[in-house]
Amino acid sequence: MMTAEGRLKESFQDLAVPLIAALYNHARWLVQDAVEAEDLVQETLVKALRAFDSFTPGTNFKAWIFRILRNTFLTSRTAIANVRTVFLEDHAPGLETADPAITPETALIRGDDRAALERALEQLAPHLRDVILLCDLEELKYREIAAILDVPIGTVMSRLARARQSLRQILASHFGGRG
Amino acid sequence: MSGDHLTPETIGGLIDGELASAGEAEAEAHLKDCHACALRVIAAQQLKRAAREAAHRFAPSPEAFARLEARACEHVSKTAEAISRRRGVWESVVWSPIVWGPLAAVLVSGLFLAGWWQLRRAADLSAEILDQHLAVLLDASSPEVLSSDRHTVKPWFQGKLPFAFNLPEENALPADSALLGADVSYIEGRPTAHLLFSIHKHRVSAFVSQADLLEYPFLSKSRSGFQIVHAEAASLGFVAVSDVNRPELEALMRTLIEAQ
Repeated sequence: MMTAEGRLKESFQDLAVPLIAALYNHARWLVQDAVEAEDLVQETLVKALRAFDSFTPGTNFKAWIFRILRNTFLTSRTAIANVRTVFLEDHAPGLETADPAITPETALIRGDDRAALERALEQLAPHLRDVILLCDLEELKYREIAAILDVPIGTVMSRLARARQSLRQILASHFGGRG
Repeated sequence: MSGDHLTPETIGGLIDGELASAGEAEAEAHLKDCHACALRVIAAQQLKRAAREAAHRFAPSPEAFARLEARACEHVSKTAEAISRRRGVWESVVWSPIVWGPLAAVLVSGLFLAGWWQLRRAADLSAEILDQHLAVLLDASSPEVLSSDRHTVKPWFQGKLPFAFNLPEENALPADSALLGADVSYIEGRPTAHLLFSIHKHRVSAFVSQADLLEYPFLSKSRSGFQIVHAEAASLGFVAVSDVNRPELEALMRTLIEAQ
């Protein structure tokens, strides 16, 4: 019969260790520094372990630990330095209804344009990049992203639309300039 | 939808698999007839795939990954050890003779004290009842109401006792027995009906009170040569005390109980 400590070791390690790379990647996007990102992931893991009793088995552990990562980041020096950032995009009326006409540049997006996309992601506002990372890369559901970012689902949807539109515009500018 | 075309949110919901089934069916139906929107969906899918690859930009170095994994495992081990230690301490406390010894002693002492208290109360109650009986045997002492008529005695108790009870008819009493009178006594500070009977030339005191006062386990069967008989009926306790022989005292008690 497995003891409580045995179960803790087995379950937490099984769930958390495979996510270290994803947590690190997300942390790097948040803090833009390798050492700080490593510290952020480590702090996240320690907090997650302490709070592991509150995790509901059967729910998405990835969403749960990403929320801890996000909250840990928000209390970090980097996040506090950016506290004055105002996400006007969430409140700008009519912006999402603009027709993002398909340009030849967006139609040409392929895997070999990865460098251009990485630069485009860098140029995105952090709150727009966050939803792209959580939705497209981490494949989390809107409701899970909403919980991680502590915003309504409607805000997640509008941020995603805005983020994708911004990416297209940045790429169109890039390809247009190149062409 | 925005006008005749899908909104950016609808396209996003479609490529992210977040549209409800009805919304998805509606969007799919629109895409069959709208080439512009179909192209936008394809472009959005391409962008999503490309963004996924580009977003996966940073990987921890093997050293950093090893450090993070090692620290995570170390913290897990420490936490597990702390849990184990806490449980160990708790278990050692729970099963320790240092804990159980005094607890057992307290339990045994408690049982002993409870038994001793019951015996002590039985002796005290028996003595108090006998004292009350002896008091009415004195020539100078007589009951407050002197009557052999149950219809006189019973109403006399009205307003004096927090309970009511019946008295047997005179012809229902055992042979050569009679009701002589009644009084209110106080046993353990609580009002008690004190009925005085005679059986032959013996006097009998019958006490009636609430059952919790005159509880049988606390009462002796005899004291100082006097017989003590106990019975319960209608949530009332009945105790009879006399120097008459026990069968006759029990017979009187039965008539009292049958009258309730």
